Amino acid sequence: MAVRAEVSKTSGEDVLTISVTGRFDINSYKDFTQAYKERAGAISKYVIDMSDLEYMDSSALGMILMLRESAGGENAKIDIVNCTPGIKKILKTANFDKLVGVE
Amino acid sequence: MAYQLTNLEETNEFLNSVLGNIDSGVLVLDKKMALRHVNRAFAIIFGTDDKSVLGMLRGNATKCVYSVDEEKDCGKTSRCGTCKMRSSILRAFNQGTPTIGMSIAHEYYIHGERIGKHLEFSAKRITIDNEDVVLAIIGDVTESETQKLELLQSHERITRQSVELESAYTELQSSYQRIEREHGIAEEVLARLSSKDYSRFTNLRVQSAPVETVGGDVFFVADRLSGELHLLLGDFTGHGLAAALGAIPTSDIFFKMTADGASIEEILVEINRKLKSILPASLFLCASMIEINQDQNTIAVWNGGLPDMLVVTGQGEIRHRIGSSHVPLGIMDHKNFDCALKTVCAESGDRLYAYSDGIIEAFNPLGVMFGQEGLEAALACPSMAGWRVDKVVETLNMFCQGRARDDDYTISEVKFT
Repeated sequence: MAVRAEVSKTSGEDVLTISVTGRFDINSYKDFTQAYKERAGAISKYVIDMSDLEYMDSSALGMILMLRESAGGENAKIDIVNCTPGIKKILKTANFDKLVGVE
Repeated sequence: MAYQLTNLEETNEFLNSVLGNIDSGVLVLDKKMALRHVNRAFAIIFGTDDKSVLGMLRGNATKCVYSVDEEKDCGKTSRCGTCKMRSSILRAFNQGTPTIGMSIAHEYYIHGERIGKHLEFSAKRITIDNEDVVLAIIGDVTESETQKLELLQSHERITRQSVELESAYTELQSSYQRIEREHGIAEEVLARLSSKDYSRFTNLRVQSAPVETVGGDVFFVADRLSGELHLLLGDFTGHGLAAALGAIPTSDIFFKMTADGASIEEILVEINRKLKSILPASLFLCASMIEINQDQNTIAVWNGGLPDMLVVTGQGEIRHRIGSSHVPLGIMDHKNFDCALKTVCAESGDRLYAYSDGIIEAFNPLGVMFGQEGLEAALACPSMAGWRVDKVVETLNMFCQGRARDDDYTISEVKFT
């Protein structure tokens, strides 16, 4: 899986967009955590772009939770966007739409 | 040039031809150590020319680094005492003792550059025109010596790497064994925790299969003093040791609180709080907790992250479907935790099914998933005296045709009379 991270400024907020492609699983750990850990302090909102994601499992859910904790826990602003129906189903079954934005 | 092969060595032309073409340096030195004759190869080896060196002392002619650096003649430098070439020439002169193939390593200035050479040196006293002279032959083996050295260094490097590799392998092996042991411990702990003796619950049947030693599923059942049945079916992310760590307090809370008469809402709140506090952020428990009132045939369910819990009629139709409507346990902080239950009623002859996603996500050799459809098809039959879950497992095993599963599964069945 490839991870791309990009910081942009939207309405005065520093937004970190993490794009994940391919498989989001246990092997993605290093790339994914590196993407947000380096910039932790400055970011006020996170967007995880799933456009090119083929597969995701429970370890990916775990990584999203880690990002959430790092980003302030229940105060974290995280949106998961461009989910395929399959990915959305996984997130919905886990009711992650109660924790983060899911589109 | 035509020669008679029989007395080749007596032919000057032939000898000159040899002298001029061999790649060993040939020199003739007199008693004063001055060069009386050198061949072309000598000039090439030492980067000089064969004419201008005649009459020069050997070390001066070859531009021995000590002679040049100290600006002293050959024989007068501070290092001449240990010069192997010098001592072997002197031995040849004074004692008539020849030297054959002596290895010499020495530095010379060749075309202005300080170069180390490896030479093979032979010297013999002969008489030419009634004069004692020393005939010396110098072979330049620098290149092959250098190659030999590089080969040796390569060999040493390979040996060193081989030792490092061996050591890394040993470390890896011991790490692997440690992991295996820890998995073994986790498996044992999980096995001890999960209620294995369901025999007194005659209306309950559970089928489960862990994936080797890395389990993650748990199943607990207990009844309250007032008669209600509590079931907890769970699937820990993280499997193995992480699952065992989470399963221990979950089991303690479940059994103690059920025995104390607590409601499943209270039990869920406690389990969630405990897991949130002890497990790292990335680990959580997908679970279905169910309270069954066997007198009234009511079922109260909390499903956080597991597939749909099903109530199936005696004819095989799905009467109720209760999907996951909560965030799994161990994620939400206490004040936001939602323990709202969904309550349904069952009829006599109905059966309840709760299961983990290992059943759904089993694959056949072609990569086709058993899926929710596969499960529901296996349940869509009139109930018989036996258990539908046994049939589901049989169907699942046939479907998978021996392909190894990626995940453990648990499926439970409760009969309503």
